[in-house]
Order: sequence, then C-alpha cells, then structure tokens
Amino acid sequence: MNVITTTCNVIRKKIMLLALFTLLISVAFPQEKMTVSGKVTNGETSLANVSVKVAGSNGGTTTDGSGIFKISIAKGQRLVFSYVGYEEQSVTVSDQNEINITLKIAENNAMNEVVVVGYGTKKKINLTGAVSAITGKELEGRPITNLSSALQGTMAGVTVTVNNGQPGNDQGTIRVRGIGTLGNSDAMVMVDGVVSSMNDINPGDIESVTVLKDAASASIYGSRAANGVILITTKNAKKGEAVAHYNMDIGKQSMTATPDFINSWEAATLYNEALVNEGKSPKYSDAEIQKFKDGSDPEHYPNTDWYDLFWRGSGLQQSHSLDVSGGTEKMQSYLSVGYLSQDGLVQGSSLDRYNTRFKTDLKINQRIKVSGNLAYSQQQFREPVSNIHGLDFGQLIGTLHQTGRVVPYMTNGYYGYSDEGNPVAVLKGGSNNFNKIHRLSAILQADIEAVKDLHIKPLLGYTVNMISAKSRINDLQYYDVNTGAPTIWEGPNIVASNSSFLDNLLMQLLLQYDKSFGDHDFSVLGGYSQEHNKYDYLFGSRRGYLNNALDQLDAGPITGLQNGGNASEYALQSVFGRINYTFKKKYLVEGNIRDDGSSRFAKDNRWAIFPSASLGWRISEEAFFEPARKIFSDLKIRASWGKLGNQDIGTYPYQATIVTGQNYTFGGQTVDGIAPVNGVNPNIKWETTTTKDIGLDAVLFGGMITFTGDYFLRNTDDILLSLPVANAFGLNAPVINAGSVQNKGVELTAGYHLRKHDFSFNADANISFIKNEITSLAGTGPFPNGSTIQGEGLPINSLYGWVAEGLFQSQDDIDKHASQNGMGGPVGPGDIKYRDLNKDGVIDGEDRQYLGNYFPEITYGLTMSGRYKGFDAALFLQGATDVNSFVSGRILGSLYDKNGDPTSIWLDRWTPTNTGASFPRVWNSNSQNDPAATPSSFWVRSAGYMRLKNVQVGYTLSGGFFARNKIKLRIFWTGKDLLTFTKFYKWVDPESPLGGNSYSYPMVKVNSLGINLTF
Amino acid sequence: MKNKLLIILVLSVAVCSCKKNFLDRQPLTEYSESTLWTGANDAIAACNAAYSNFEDGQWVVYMDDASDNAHNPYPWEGWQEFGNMQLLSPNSWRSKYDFTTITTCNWFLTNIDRTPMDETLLERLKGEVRFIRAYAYFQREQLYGDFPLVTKLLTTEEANAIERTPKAQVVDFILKELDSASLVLPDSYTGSDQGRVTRGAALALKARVELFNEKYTESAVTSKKVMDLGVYSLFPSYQDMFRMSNEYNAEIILDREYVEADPNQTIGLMVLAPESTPGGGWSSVNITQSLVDAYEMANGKTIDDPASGYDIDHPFVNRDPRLLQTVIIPGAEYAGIIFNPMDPNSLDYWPTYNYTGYVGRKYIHYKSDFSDLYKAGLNIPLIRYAEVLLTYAEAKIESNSIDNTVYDAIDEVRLRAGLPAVDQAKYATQAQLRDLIRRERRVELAMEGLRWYDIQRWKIGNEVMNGPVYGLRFSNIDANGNVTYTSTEHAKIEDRVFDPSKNYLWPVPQGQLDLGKNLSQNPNY
Repeated sequence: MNVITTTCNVIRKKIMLLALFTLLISVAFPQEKMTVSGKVTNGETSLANVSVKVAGSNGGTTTDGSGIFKISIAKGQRLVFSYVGYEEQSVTVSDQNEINITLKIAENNAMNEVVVVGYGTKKKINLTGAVSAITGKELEGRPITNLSSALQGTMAGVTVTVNNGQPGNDQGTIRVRGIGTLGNSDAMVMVDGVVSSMNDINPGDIESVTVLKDAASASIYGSRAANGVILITTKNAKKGEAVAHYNMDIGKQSMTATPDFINSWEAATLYNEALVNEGKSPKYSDAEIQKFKDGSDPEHYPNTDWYDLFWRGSGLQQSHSLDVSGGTEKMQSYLSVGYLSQDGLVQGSSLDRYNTRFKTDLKINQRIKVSGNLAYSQQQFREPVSNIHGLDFGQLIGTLHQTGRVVPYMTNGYYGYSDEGNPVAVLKGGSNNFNKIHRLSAILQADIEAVKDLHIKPLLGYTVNMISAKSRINDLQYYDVNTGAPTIWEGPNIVASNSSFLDNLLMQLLLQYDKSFGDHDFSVLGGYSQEHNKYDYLFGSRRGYLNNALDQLDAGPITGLQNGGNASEYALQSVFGRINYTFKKKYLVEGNIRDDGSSRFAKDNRWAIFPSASLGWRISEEAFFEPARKIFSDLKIRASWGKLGNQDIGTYPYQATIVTGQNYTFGGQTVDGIAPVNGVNPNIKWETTTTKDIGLDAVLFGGMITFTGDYFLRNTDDILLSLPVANAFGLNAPVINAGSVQNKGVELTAGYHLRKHDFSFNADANISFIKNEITSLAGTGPFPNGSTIQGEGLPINSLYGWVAEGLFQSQDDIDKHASQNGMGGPVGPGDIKYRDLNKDGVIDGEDRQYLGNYFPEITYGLTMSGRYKGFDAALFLQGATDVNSFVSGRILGSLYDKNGDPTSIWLDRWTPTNTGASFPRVWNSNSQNDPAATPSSFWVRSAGYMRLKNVQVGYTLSGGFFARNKIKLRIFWTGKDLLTFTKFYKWVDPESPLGGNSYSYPMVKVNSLGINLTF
Repeated sequence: MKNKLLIILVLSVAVCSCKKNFLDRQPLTEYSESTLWTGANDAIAACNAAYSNFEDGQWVVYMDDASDNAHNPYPWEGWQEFGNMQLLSPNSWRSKYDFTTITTCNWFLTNIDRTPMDETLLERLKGEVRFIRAYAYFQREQLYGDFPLVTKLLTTEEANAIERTPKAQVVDFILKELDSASLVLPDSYTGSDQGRVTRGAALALKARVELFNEKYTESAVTSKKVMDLGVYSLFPSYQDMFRMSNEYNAEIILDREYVEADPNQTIGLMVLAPESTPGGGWSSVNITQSLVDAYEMANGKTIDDPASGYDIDHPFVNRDPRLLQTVIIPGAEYAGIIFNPMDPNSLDYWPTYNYTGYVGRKYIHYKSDFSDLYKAGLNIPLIRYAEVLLTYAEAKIESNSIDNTVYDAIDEVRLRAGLPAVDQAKYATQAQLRDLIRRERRVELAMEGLRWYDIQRWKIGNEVMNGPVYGLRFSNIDANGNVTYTSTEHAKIEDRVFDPSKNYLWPVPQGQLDLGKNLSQNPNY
C-alpha cells in the first residue's frame, strides 16, 4: 500500500520555533522545586536540541547530544517538549524524577515525506535518485480536463507543452529532461503499476504523480524508461467509517488570443497592392472597394468575419467527481465516479468523459493480502469536419483564414462558396467525426509473506483500449451568388466507420526481502515481467446514401463500399533486481539491474542489460554536523549513474516486409500489387540512454524550507532513426542505430511553508535549465526540412533558414547586394534582404543557418497559496524562456485572392511612403518574403512567455452545522490560463505549433466555479 | 486457503512466462521475402505493383501548365513556376526525381527468376516490368537530362554515392530495354489483362524516344513497325476517344488506367473543370490564347492567312473542330452552366480563377459520364496511334526522306479530326512541312503532356516560353453565352522569362543534392 506525502504541497502541522518560546513570558508561582531529568527520542534515536519548556514561564532548557535533559520544576507544572518537524508534547510533572519522552514525527513534515518509486515507496530523505512528485491535493480545485496539461510547470525537469485547446485534444506533450531521442520522446506513463495513458484518468482519483527522472530511479522500468517514467497512483481505500468526497466545477472557456483580421475593403486594397508589386493589374476597382467599405451590396461585396461566425460554441465545461472509501480491518474499498463534459468554442466540438474506479483491499490473513483495482472510462469525442478537407478538423479551421470577401450565406439563405469551402455551411451541414473510446483496466495483485520479511507479489494487469470511430459526411449544396442556381455540391454523403482494439496483458512477479540488523538496513527486490500488446483494426465505409437521415453502414448502397483491416503485436520480457543498503541511516546505496528483451529486434540483438547505481550521504546525520542542525534538519547529497533502453521504433523494423495495396487496374478491375516499401536493417539494436546525476536535498528549519537541486548529464546513443537517404534508394529510409543526443541541465526546486494558528502560507518554485544537442548523426547530415534542421551540434528540430538583414530600400540597395534572383520572384524595394553567408555573391540554399531553438531551455513554475481561517487563495505562474518560434502562412494573413485573409500586421508593410515598416512589401505569388517558402530569421521571435496558469479563491465552511454533521464544504472560483505575458505575435499563442499555422484549435482560458464537499 | 491462493498465483505467472518464443512476433499484415515468389500469382502481384505509380494521370494533364499551352493560376499547386520559370528553384515541390517505381521494377527483376512458373508468362511479366522501368527513365532523362541509372537494388550507402549517368547512356539503356521487351510482349490482351504493356507500346515508346533524341531514321523505322502491326487504327471521333465508354479502342497503345468502382483507383479530373461546375472544379489548367490561335480554320488555313476567313469578332467559328473539343471557350456551356469568365460575380471570373478565361474540355467533355469528377474512372491515354503517325511523319521529314507516306500519315490524323488533307503545294519543303507537323502535334496532342518535350527538343523555348501570356479577349457575355467584344485587348496573365542556358532542364531537387555528395546540379540553378 502506498502512503504518500510530498514536500512541495502539504501544509505543515504545528511548527514550533524555539524563538517563539523565548518570547513567552510566564507567570511563575512560588512552589517547591524539584529536579527532573530524562531522555527524548523519536523512538529510534535520541533527539538533541529539543526545547524543554516550563509551560507559562520563560524558563527552559534543551536536550544535549544524547537527548538528555535536566530541569528544575515545581510539582504540578507542565513541561512542553517541542522540536521542529515533530508534534509538540506536554507532561504535567507529579512525583516522578525521570521523564522519558518519545516525540512523534509531525504528519506532513518534509522529513516524513514518502514518494512512490519503481515497484514501491520510499521516504524522500532516503532517496538516492532524482524524483519529482506532486499530490492530488495540488491539482484539486483546478478545472482539469486533461492531466498531462495540468502538470505543466509543476515539477522541475518536466517540460510540458500544450498547443491545442480542443476538447479531447488538449493534452500536453511531456518531455522529461529535454528531448532524449530523435524518435518518440514520450515518457512512459504507469497508472497503479500498469502502462497506461494519462488522457482518460479522472483527476479526482489521483493520489500522487511521481516522475522518475534519472536512470537510477527509472532503470527498474528499463525497457521503456529512457524518456522518463511517470507513475500515477490512485487513491486508496481507507480504514474506518466511510468518508465521501464530492468535487465539482463548472466553467466557461474562451479564446486566449484572436487573429486580428482587417476589413474586406482593406484586404482588397492590399490584394491589389500585392498584384501591382508583382507587375500584375489590380483586381478591384475603386468603386468595388467602396462597396466593400460602405456595405451597400453585402451579398456581392461582403465583409465576412469567419472567426466570429464560426466560434460560437458555448464553451461550457463541467466536471463532477464523487468518491467513497472506508472499510474494516480486513477489507477496505474505494469507489469513485467521475464525469467531465466540455463543449467547444465551436458548435459540434465536444468531449464527454465518464470514469469509474473500484479498488478493494482484502486481508485474507496475517500473511496474505490481495487487492483488486478495476477502472473503466469512456470518452465521447466529437468534432465537425468536411469532406473537401479530408475529414480533418484542422483543415476546416484553416478555412477560417480565407478572405472576408466571400459571402457566408445569401439573403435567400443559400450558402456562398469559395474553393476553400464554407466553414459556416459545414457546421450547419452537420458532418462530423465521432469517437467513442472505451478503456478498461483491471489489476489483480497479492502480497504474500512466504517467510518472515520475504514478500511475494504477483500482479496481473490487463488493459483494453477500444475505439469505435465514425465519420459522417452529409452532402451540402452551394449556390451561385447571382443566379441562385446550384453550383458546388459537396458530397456524396459518406459514413466511414472503424474500430480498433488494443489489448495489453502484463504479468509480473516480485520478490521482496527487507531486513534490518544493527546499523544495517537491507532491501532486496527481484522481479520478472512480461507484456504482450496486440492491436486490431477494422474499417468500413459506404457512400451515396439517399439522404442525411441514417448513419449505419447497412443503410448505404453497396457500390463503392470499402473495407480494410490490419493488426500488429509486440512483446516484452524482463528480469530485474534491485538492492538497497543503508548503513547507520546515513550512507545509502542502491543498485539496479535489468535484462530486457523486445520482439522489435532480431534474435541476436533482442536482449540487453541495463544497470544503474546510486549513492546518498545524509550529511546531517553525521556528528560533525551537529552545530548546523539548528538550520538543516536534513541535508543529503546523492549521485547516480545508470543506463536505460529504448525500443519504441515501430513494430517490425528489422523484418523485410512486402506491402500489399500497391494496386492498379486492368480491364476496369482493380488488381492486387505487392512490393517492398520500407528499407530494412536487420542489425538494429537497443537505443541506450546513460544518465549521470548529482543532487542535493535539504530540509531547513524542520520543514519550513525545502530545497532540491540536481545537475544531470543524459546521453542517448545508438539512436534508432531513419536517416534520410537519397531517393535513388527507392524505399523509405531504414531504421538504423545512428545518432547521439545529449541533454544536460540543472533543476532547482524550493519550497517555503508556514503555518501559524489560523494562517498558513506555502510557496513552491521550480526552474529547469536544459541544453539539448544532437552530438552525432553518424557523420551524416545536416538534414534541413523546411524551416527546421537536424544537425550535429544543434538542438533537435532547430529553426533553420536565411538570415534577414532588414528590407531593401531602393533598387540601388538591391544592385549592391548579393543576387537574390533565385529566391522566389523578381526582387524589389521592400523585400527582405538576406545575408550572403558564404560570400559568393548569390543568395541560395547555402546561405541558410541555425536560427534558434524551438524547445525551451528554461522552464519554470511558481505556486503560492495561503489560507486564513476559512479563506484560501492560490496563484500558479508558469513559463518558459530561451525558446524561439516562428510564424508563417495564413496565421500572418496571406494575400491570395480567396483563400487568405490578411491580419492587421500588414497595415505596417513596406511601401515607398512607409520605408520604416516592420514588415516587407505585400506579395501574392512571389515567395521571396514568404516565411513558409523562404524561412528566415525575419519571422523568428522569442516565444518565451509567462502564464498565469491558475488562480483560485475559496472559502471553507466547517463550523456549526457542518461540524455537527462532519461536513466540510469549500466553495471556490478558479481561472485557468487567464493571462499570458509574451513578446511573441500578439494573436498567436507562444506555444502554438511551429510555424504558427492556422490549422490548430485556439488555446483557451477557463473561468470556473466549484465546490469540494467532504461528508 | 492461503496455500491454494499462493500456488495458483505463482503457477499462473510461471506457466505464462514459460511460453516459448514469446518474443518472436511476425508481421500480421505484410508478406516477407520468405513467404513470396511461390508461383505465378505472386509474380503477377509483384508485377502489378510496378504499374501502381508508373504514371499519374493528373500529372499528364498538368504538364501542359509547364508549356505554352496553358497556365496554372495557383502557386501552391507547384506548376506555375514550371510555366513562367520565375520561381523555378531546386526547392520546387513538383518533381519527378523519384525512384519508387524504378526500385519496384529492380526488386521484381532481381527476384523473379526464382519463381516456379510458366516460362512464357515469366518472360512476358519481365517484359512488362522492363517497359515500365524504361518509361520511368524516359520521363526522367527528359526532365533532368543526366539521371542516375539504377538497375539493381541499392544499399543506402550506394544510393547516397550515386552519380548522374549521362543522358545519352540512359537513352541507350531505354532503347535496348524496349527492344528486348518488344520481343516478349504480346500484341494485345483480353479481358482483365487489358491495359498491360504490349509489343506496340514498347515499339511506340521506342519510336518516341528515338524521335526525341534526333535518331530520325531509326524512329521512322520503329514507328513504321507499329503501323505495320495491324493492331492500331484511329478512332473515328476525336472528341469521343477520351470517353470511358470508348476505353481500349484501337487507337490506344498505352494508357494510365483508372476505375470508378474503386475509390483508391480514381483520378481527380476536377482539376480541369471550371470552378462553376456542379460538384466543383479547380480550373487548374488554363488554356492560353497561344494554343487557341494555333488551331487552323476548318478549311485548313492558319488564322493568320488572309485567305483563311478568320473573323476576329467570331474567332471560334469555322475552326478546326478539335479546338472546341479541347477547350471550353468563354460563353460556352459546360455541365448546364454558361462559362462566363467576364462576369465579376461568376465563380469563373477571369482574374479570380481562370486567368486566361479558357479551361480544358478534353477528357471531361461529357460531364454526365462521371458521377464524381473528384473520383473519376477515366483511363488517360499515354501513347495513341495518332502520335505514332505524327512521329513517323516528323521522323521522315527531319531525316529528309519526304515521300507520300508522310502526307498520308498526317492526312490520316487531319481527316479524322474533320480537316481537309494537307495542301501539298503549300507544304512542300522540309521547312514548310516542319511548320505543319509541329502545329499538328501541338493541337492534336494538346493537354496530353507532350508539349513541353516538344519545346525542349525543338529548342523553341525562347520563342514560345518568353514574354507575355495572354488569355481571352474582353467582352460581355450574356446569359445565353452570346459574346459581344468590348475591346481588342486580351487579358494579360503574366510575363514569362525563359533562360535558354538553364530552363530546358528542371533543377535537381536541393534535398537530393544535400544527400548525394556525388550529384551535380543542372547548369545555372
């Protein structure tokens, strides 16, 4: 059973400072004095410097190095023993001359904190690896729709990027200690010991989230731990009378930033200007522009605000979560249900999630415990789509950036049309994607104490992920704006249905032996695990339904029906062991070893061994540290080294496969064709990550201040990647063990916790500095890919392009500069001037260079919370700096005739009369200034930001009626992502996908009201 | 109880974990080399894969955007720059610098001989695949000049070290391969094999390659062989030849096949149709005034001939019938809608989508033939008998062995189109005949993807790919499609700049130069 408390968040109880007592003035009664002596311990060791006071007086003493005190006191007086981090105790002196006291460690003390680690728990003061953790309490009261994005900024070394606000698609990308590999860098997520996902978990169920950052902590999960391990532990059943919690919040989402499109007449003027810039004739006459301006003919000269017409969803969200737990000595249960409902900013986009979890612990006898953990969740996800945009919601969002010179609907109600389609009509048409995701997780485990101190712990974990998805396309008729005649028909109506089934069976056996004798504490763990994962997929579609009424396959015609299906599987097998040894509670040693096998490699490369070791020294336990103990309650330095493996590289990369579906038609019939498509390398082996870590943990003033610092160096070698290969190879590049990536950095976490009577205050801050670099691509590369590059010596996915030197101001300026003739169109004044890096007099592909890092080098978070009587308030700031991003295309506003609408930045474009402009002259088809076709530093800006991630104000009712009925009720208001401070483009969120493309759902802020009820 | 539980738990884990080969997992959806080449079915499927991407029907119709026949209005489609050469850069995304089909062919030819199967069939399949590979090389040497000649499967190291093979060597290879294919391929197929490569296709492609490489004598001989096969003849109607119901007619020597019944095997022909077309059109191939003017009068005289009877106010009257069968002109009806590029409120308004005011009609003449233009099932001809006749004539003209068979061949094409026979008095010398044959090729084969190759080999880029491109003449068009000209001015679409020192070849993609250290760029890119 996991009992967890963590440093950062828990309110410390009863911290008594010596200083406080010296200020107290006691009233002494002249009575017969006697001398009392005794020893103060914590049950294990003696405690020095414990304050021993006579209640009501200013007389007192402290214990000596062996915990002994001696004090003169009158009979009937009270002795008060207090020590930081321990609960205060008092004794009324009667006749006894000797009083021995055992102080209890205060609950929630930093000294007492326990964290979940691989296959177990550990006291934080005994940790030798790098681990960050937060508790469910810290997430409470925040309107969390997705756990991954809620973790943003909460832990040092854990970088979360969120760039989508769509209900059901708002998960964050989590990178533990930077981007570790060129392939999939996602951390492994385990819920209650079983590999899982964090997208469907009920936040109300969470007891703690632990991130294992260094190899020594994570290596016990070797085969998938290279990118860090996130352990999520759900709440456990508690003994005693049943206690229930009910949490709810209801809130409204709104956009954090809106593109600032200009009016259609301004856009038409700019379009004319762009045409003229390229030597073409303007399209719109002055009279036409006037019509756009005065709105006299809105049908033919409209000023359409697509954003306004599209984003009209309610944006309402609510969540409810109820849990009950309780039990007897023999059996305890925990039962929870949760519901989340989120309506998007656009009608037809929504998420509904239902969660339930049932956990039970059964004590069969003194030696055998079994527990079951059954969880089911269902997510219903819906989004509007259109057929001409490939059923892709993002593409549909992109059409909102089309020109406002297209009329959405005419006075007769018919839809207008451009070749981008009409997003308003699509919404009305009701075409959508609908996914139902079922997830079932069943865990059965036992703890059998076979002989004393030897525990056998078998575990069976089975998870099923079932997705049934349906895309339904309704046909839609557009009409000619003049004749009213039907023109474009978007159809035929299609129903495409698919289902996938992913199941995973984990079997695991642990043997654990813990033994202490004398100054020696041993803990030995041995284990075996195997996992089999299978994926099945089935698909079918029909088209040409009579009308839009029915959406079942059988209701559609047989002609043109399609179906398909496939399957894949993989297996993992591992043997592992861990040994912990502690000498005198101050020298800590841990060693791990793991032998992993994966079906993704050929027989000879299948197995690999991943060892790790770590050391810790609790300096504060040393005798020489005595003088400093008044300040440092605990001080530990630790160091670790370890290796981890990664095999997440597709399912059959070492096998030559010949792919079906390379079809053709002869004589009017489709014939099957088969051919190899992927290059193959049978010799691939495990990718290896080696992490070195040095850390320091300190607890000051008995827990008032906590501090953790780490320096790490993480090298990933033999990275499995498809190194680009010349087209002459003719197949997709094979996966090879080629690259090396290094991440190094520093992580600092500090906390301040104060509690006095009715008042408490906590502040927790964390900051991480991460430097990422590709150290090797096996001598190949660099590989530019549009606006990014992978190259030795550069961070992964660096920005790449030309270096802008300002704008050309005159023809003379152009003539004197290196030739830019090959850069996308005839060069003219107002065009961006690029630097001739190789000084060959010609600007070309050779003049591109590294333009910045897209992964933030510094991320930080700061939480402050306070409580006074029933009131509480919390503030959470989160941010990133030393990061660059760039924008391109439609998010800037392009100047095509129909499918791009300019934003207000273009009002400050270069013209012969506005030579000091911030932006180049406008273009239509020439691409020398275009950030997508010609990426340059001109468009790169710092994407650093600081966000007010969460702010909360609450009030708790607990007196009177509530106390009598054992009810605690908290009412709160909370805001998420309310403010963002950034120097990036003001209508583009700094976390938007690279290029700030216009195809993503905008980021949202949320205002919510809620209650927490305990009864 | 406790013992039972313990035993069950321990055993269950132990039993499951002892399963042998737990980590041996084979692909469930794909074949492997060890499960293939077991017989004729496998070999045929592997051969079919060579066809799967050997040509792209859309590419064929788009190719005229890279010539003086047409203009592409949308920069993002990637064709405009191949027309005006202004943006043409090694980063252009439209490229044929690709080896997928070639590799499939090489893979087939490497493995096929170990397949136990009927020898004749095996040789035929090899012939088909050799043809496909030769066809792929033909396109690439045309577009890029020197091109790496890869005839076996390469390692990644070999691929990255590859050099460009001189064009002449690639051409030799193509001709040799076509020769050997023509020996094993049959004259024709029936039923569900229709559409496979025939002897005629091998010879016709060979004649084309010879012609394009100034091997005129050889080309005349080879094209004569096709004519003498007795398999091919011209389809009676030019207009209806490009129609689904007339697929596999005797004029088709090779086509890219599509079928409507399988949505994955369809072609998007909406790229041709006007914007206003019900169901949607893209009008991506805007025909230029220059092509329109190339069509003769119905009397066989060119429009600049004062005796032709050409009336500038009725420019489409009494013209070569192929003009209206190939081009949708302003005021014409298409799919029940009057194509009106002069109406600012029409989807077809010329400055908006059809910059020239003319779009293609070939292939999609009968809109009602298609249930969905986006997923059409029309086969796109790649080599037609008419081309062979014109190849024969041109080869004879260029080798200066002009005789009656030259006139016969040209006449056959013209008479079918509804034009009179060649005026032998007017077209008597080599130079006169050269004019004639070049014009005839241009109009007969418009929108069939061959015009750029002709410009290339005739070295006429400077004359036809330079300067302003014009479209329709300004007019008013009423609801019935009646045109009243309002000006003598034509819409000017763009200024093209052709640099003969570089633009006859496309640039090698920059990405390939980055990877292949032994590759070189074409001159002046």
